[in-house]
Amino acid sequence: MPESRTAVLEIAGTIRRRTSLIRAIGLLLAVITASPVRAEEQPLLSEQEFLAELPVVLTASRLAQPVDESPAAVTVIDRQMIDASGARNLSEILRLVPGFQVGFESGHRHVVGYHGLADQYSRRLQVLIDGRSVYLPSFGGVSWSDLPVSLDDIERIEVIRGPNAVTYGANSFLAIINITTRHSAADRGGFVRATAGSNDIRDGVLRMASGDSDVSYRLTTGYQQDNGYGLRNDSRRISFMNGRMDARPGVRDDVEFQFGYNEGPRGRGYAGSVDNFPHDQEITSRFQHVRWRHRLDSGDEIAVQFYYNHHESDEQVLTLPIALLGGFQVPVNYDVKSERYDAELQHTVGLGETIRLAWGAGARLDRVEWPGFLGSAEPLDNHYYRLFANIEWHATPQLVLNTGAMFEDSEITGRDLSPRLAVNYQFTPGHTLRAGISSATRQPVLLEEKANARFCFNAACSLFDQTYYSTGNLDPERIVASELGYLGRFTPALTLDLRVFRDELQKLIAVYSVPYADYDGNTRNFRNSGKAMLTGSELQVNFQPAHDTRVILGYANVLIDSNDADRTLYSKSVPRNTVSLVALQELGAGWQASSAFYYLDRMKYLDVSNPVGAQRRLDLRLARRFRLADSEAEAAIVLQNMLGPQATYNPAYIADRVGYFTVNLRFR
Amino acid sequence: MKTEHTNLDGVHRMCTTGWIDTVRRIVALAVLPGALFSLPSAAGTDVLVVHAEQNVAHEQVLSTLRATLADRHGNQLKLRVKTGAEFSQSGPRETGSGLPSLIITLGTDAAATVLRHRVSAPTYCTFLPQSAYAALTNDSNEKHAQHTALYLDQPLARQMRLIRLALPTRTRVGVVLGPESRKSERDLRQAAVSAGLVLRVEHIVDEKQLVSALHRTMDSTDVLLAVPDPLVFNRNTAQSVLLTTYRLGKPVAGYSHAYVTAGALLAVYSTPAQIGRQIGEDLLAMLDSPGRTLPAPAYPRYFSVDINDRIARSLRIETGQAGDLMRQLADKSTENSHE
Repeated sequence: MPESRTAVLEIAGTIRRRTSLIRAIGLLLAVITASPVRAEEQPLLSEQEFLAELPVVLTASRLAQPVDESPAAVTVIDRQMIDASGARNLSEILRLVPGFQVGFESGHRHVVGYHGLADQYSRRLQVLIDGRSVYLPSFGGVSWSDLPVSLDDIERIEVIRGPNAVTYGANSFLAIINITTRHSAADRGGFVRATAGSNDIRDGVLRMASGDSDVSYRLTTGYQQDNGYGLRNDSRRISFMNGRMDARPGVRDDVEFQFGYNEGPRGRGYAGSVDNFPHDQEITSRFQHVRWRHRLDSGDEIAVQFYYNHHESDEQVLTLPIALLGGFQVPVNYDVKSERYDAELQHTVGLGETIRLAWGAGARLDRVEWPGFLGSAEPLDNHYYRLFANIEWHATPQLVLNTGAMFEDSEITGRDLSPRLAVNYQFTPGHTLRAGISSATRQPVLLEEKANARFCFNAACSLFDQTYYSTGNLDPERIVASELGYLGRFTPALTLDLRVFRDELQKLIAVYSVPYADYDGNTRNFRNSGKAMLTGSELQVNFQPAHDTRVILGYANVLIDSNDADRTLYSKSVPRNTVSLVALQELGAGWQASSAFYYLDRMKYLDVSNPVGAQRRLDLRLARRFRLADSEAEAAIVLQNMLGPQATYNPAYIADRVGYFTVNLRFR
Repeated sequence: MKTEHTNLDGVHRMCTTGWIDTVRRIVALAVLPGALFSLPSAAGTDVLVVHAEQNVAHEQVLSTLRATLADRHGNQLKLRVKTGAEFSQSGPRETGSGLPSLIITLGTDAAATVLRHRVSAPTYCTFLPQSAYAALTNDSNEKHAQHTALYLDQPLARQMRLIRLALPTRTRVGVVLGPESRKSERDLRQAAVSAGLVLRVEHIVDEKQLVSALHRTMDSTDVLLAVPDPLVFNRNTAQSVLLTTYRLGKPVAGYSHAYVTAGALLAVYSTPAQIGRQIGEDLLAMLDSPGRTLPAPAYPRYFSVDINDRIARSLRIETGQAGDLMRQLADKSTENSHE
C-alpha cells in the first residue's frame, strides 16, 4: 500500500507541474512500478497532533550563537547583500566587511587583506567553505579563483573580525571568512545563468537539484572567463563543477557530502620578460568533503567531518635564450601540487541549563610536491594535530561568558596554546557590550619553512640563481587581540556594531635578503622578525526600514605601529580609513536597484614596491525579476568601477570600468 | 479501523465545496434545530462522555470538566464516561435507561465513532481539530440529530494576531499546505489580511516536497506559520521543518506546546484543562439557558501562549513576554472565537 500511494502522488505532482526531465522519468518509473490505483486514505487530523510530545530538535547544542552572544565581532553577508553588491567574484564581496581590502594582482589572483599586512597570498586570513579550510599549504592563503563554488550556491558569508582559533582552528589569525553554501534541498529544480559583458566577460552556470526530505542533491557546473586587466596576459578561462548531497538516514543524523572541481588556463607573464613571458598556467583544484552530525538522546551532538583538498598548478617553461649563459634556456619549473587531508570530531554538550561545552580534536596531513621551490621532487609532509574546547556560560540571562583554548601540535613548529576569554553583557534589551581577549597562531607554510628554489645554467644543472633558501626552524606568528564591542538595536530596523581593538602581532614571518654564492650574490630567507601593533575602531550599521529598502555601512579606522623588519613595510600596508556603503531599493513591478560605494586610503601591499593611492569605487546594479512561462527569471545590468580607472594592488596595473549583463532562469 | 478510513475517504472525495460553506452549513444545522432540542428536566440530565482511550490528556479534560460542574455534578447532572470501544459495543444507552440527554465526545476518534453511529441524541464534539469536525459532519449531517463542536485548534485570526503582536516587523508569513490543510487557504488569506500580514502559500501533495517548499516559501517571508496536515505537516515532519527554517534564520509559529519545546519560536494553543473548563461552562450555560440550545461550533475561549526564549535569543528576536501577548490576544478573543 505505501508503495502505490507514493506512486500515485508522484504522478499527481508530475501532472501538475508539467516540467522537468527528472519528473518525466519519475513518472515513467511510477507508472511501471505502480500497483493498480487504489482509493487514497485521507486520514483525519487527530487531537494527538496538538498534544503529543516532540523530541527537542533545536537543542541547546545545535543552536548557533547569536551575534550578541558571540565572543567575537561578526559581519554576516546574506543572499540579498551578495546580489546587491553586483559581484562576479567571491573575493569582491568582502569589500562589504569593515576593515577589508580587495585588490587584483591579476585577473585571477585576487588579493584580500584585513587591516593590511597582506600580499597576494592573503596568508593571515582563514577561509572555510561549509567548515572546510581552503587555505593552501604550499603558498599559504587562498587562491580565490580556484575555488569550485558558484556565487549562486552561497547562502551566506560570515566574517569573524579578529582571531578565533578555538572555533575555526589554525591560521584563524586576523579574520575568518566562513562561507555557507545553500542546502541541496533549497533549490529543487533547474537554474541557468548567462552573463556577458565588456572585457570579454562570459560566464555561465547550470544547476540541477532534486530529491526529498530524506535525500537531496545538487549538481552545479559553470564557466567563467574575462580578460583580467585587459592589457596584460592575465585572462582566465575557468570551468568548474560541484555537487552536494544531503541525507537524513535517521531522525538523529544528518550526512552531507560535497565534491568540487575547478580547472582551466590562467594567463601569466609579461611581454618583454625573459623568464616570465606570456604563458598559461594550468590549474586544477578539487575536493571531497563529508560531514556527519548525530544527535544524542540528551540533546548533545557529535559531528565528524573529513575532507581532502587537491590543488595543482602546471607551469613549466624554458626562459628565452640568455646571452650571458651562451644562449642557454634556463628551465623554470613552477609546478606545484598540494594536498590536504583533514579529519575532525566535535562533541557539543549541554551541562545543565546554562553551560554549553564544545570540544573536539582534529588531525591533518599537508603534502606538497614542489620541485622548483622545495629543492626536491619528493613530496614534503607536515602532520598537524589540534585539540580544542570552548565553554559558553550563561551566568545570568544578561551575562554570557565564553572561554576556551586550542592546543596545536605541528611537525614544523611544535606545540602551541591559543586561549581566549570573552564576556558579553546585555545591559538593556537590544544593547550588548562585549569585552574579549583572544590569541591565535599562523603556522608557517612550507614555502617559508623549506624553500630551496634554484635555477640552473647548463644541462648538468650548475647553479645559476638561488632565489630562495630557507634555513627553517620558524616559529608560528602570534596574535593577541583585545577588543571592546558594542552591539545595539535601536529599532528593529536599525542595528549598530561598534568595536575598538588592539591587536598585538609578534614573530611575523618576513622575507629578507642574505648573501649567497650564485650569480647575483644573494638569496632570500625567512625569519620571525616582524612586529606590529594595530589599534583602531570599526563600525557597521544595518538600516532596513522596510523589506524593500536596505542600507549597510561599514567603516574602519586602523593605526599601525611596526618595526618594519627586513624592509617589510608593514606600517604602509594598512589603509587608515576603509568605507563601504551599500544601498538597495525595490522599485516595484519586480525592479530592484542597488549601488555600492567603497573608499580605501592609500596603502602598499607587502609584495609590491609602490603604494596604491586612495581608491574610490562605485558599482551600480539594476535588476528586474519577471516570470517567463513557468519559470522565475531575473535580468540585471551591472556597472562596476564607475568612478573611473584606478589601481587596486600595484599602481602599474589599472583596472578599467566594466559592465556586464546577466540573466538567470529558475525552473521546476 | 480500515473500513472506517475507507468510509471517511468517501467523504473527502465527495467534498467539493469550500470549507467556508461547510462551516456555514454546520452552523446553520447546529443553531437552527437548537429550538427543537431540549434537555429533560435538570434532575434527570444524563450526559455521556465518549473518548477513544484512556490517556493523560483526556483525563485532564475530564477532571477539569468535573471540577467546573462542581456541585451540580451528580446533583442535577449525571456524567457517564465510555470509551469509544465500549460505545461501539453497547451504544449510547445504559442498561435499562433511555438515550442520554447529551453526548460529549473527546477527540477525533470518539467524534467519528459517535457520529457514525447516528445516535439521535444531541452531540457536543470537543477536543478535536476544526478540519476533522468539518470532514466528519459533512458526511453524516443529514441523518444525525443536532451536533456542535468545541475545537482544539486556534482560530486562524488568533494565530495571525499573535504573529503580528510578537513579531511586529515580520509581516510576511509563509505557510506550506498539504492536501487536507489546503482547504483552509481562503480563511488563512483572510486572516492574514485582517491582521495586516502578507501571506505566501506553497502547496505540496507529498512529504518529500516539504523541504524544498519550505525553502521556496522562506526565501521571501519572515516567519513560518505551521498549519497541521495529517499527510505532510505533522509531528513526523516537525524535525525537517524546524531544522530547515532554523538554518535559514527564520522563526516558526507552531501550533502546540510540544512544537515550541522542540524548537518553534512561539505558539498559541489550548491545554486539555482549558478545554475541559470550557466544556463545563458551556454545559452549565446550556442547562441554564431557557431554550437549552446547543451553542454554535466554536474555537477555544481559553488559551495559552508559549515563547521559546532560547530560540528567540539565538535568532535575535524580541517577542515580548508570553503573558503580555496572551492578555493582548485575549482582548480580541471573544470576537474571534466563533468562526
